[in-house]
Amino acid sequence: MEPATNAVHRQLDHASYGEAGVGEVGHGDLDLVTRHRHGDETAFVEVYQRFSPMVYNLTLRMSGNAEDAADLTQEVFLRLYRHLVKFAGRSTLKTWIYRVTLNYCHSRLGRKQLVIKPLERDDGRGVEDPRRGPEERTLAHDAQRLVGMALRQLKPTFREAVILRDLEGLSYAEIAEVLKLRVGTVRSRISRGRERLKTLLEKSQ
Amino acid sequence: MSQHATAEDLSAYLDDELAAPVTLRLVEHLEECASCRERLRDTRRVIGTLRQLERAVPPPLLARTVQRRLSLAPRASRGLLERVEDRLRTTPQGSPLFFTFFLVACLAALVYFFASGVERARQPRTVLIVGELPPPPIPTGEIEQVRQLDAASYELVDGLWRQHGIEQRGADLRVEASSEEGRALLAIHPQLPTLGDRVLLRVDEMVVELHGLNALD
Repeated sequence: MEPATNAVHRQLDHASYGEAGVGEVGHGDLDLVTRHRHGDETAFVEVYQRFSPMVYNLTLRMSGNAEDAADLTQEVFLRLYRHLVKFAGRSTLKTWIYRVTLNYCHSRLGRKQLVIKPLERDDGRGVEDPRRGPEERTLAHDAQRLVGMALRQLKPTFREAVILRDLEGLSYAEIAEVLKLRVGTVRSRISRGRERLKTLLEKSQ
Repeated sequence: MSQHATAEDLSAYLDDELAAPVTLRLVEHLEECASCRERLRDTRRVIGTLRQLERAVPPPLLARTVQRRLSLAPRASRGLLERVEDRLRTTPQGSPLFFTFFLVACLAALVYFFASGVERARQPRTVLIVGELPPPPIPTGEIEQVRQLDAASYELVDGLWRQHGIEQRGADLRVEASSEEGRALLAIHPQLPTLGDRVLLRVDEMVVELHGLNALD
């Protein structure tokens, strides 16, 4: 019989290629956590498969480069592994993981570092989409570089609100849950973040 | 809506997060205000640009790195109840009925301990106040012997002769038999040396210990 840990490792190998979408999460959260509590190692594999693209993208947009994002993602999953048993189901697993990720980003990157970072060689695009042609990829690259730069210049409070809304597709209520804010504050931060982005993008063109 | 729309309202409108009455007023206003329509277009363009950003795929090696680190990572400690539940599930008797019985027994034990604690709390308690303790009682020794000397009687108690009526153990004044005061007392009570070396006697309102009687010539 194959040891459980080997099975877990073999499955994690394929996890990053999974098609897990953010919209799918939220079902069977407590079941997953219960399985994890009872020592079912495959439960955490499922958590990784479902949430690693979400965590990686969020850390990528918060840190601004792929290297930091990979490092942050590792740390976030270690924390999730350790603390998943404490998840009580008062929110969805998705919002809980967003909160853990953002809290870790804040503690690790610090508020000051998040304000403005110089443009780095790696603009945080992750892996190139092989379906695009070279010209299309260059154009997309340029546009993404500009938006990425503008995002990095936003104040962290505006940036995280805009990222959660426009890149992660969370509702205002979900963002309020993740950031522990009132919905009115979330609405204001998203609006101000977008206004600031508008100005930055106009300047860059 | 006569005033221009706020940026916040336009932003929330595009997200479909505006209350219905406000949405209605905003739509009416947008029909007649070119400036607000322009601002709405700009905001929509920003949102569109953001949403075109590609979702990155985590690097393939990331999963392997995470799995390596997970193999070394301890989990957070779990609650006692959860651990007991796990243990019961892994035992042959680990049926839900057995677990329920176990929980009920635990609850009953808790109720019993709580109730006995309340009962104990109701009982009167002895309170000791340090610093205000009463003096220890004077031991009342048995009278071993009584002798009549002169006009007074003397009792031997705990190896010490004392004049009848004296109950305190210690003397207010100690007097050496060979001293001037001692000799004056012996002049009044000349037979005291026949009792022993130490005698307690009352002189006026004081209890006097006359000692060193055996050493007298």
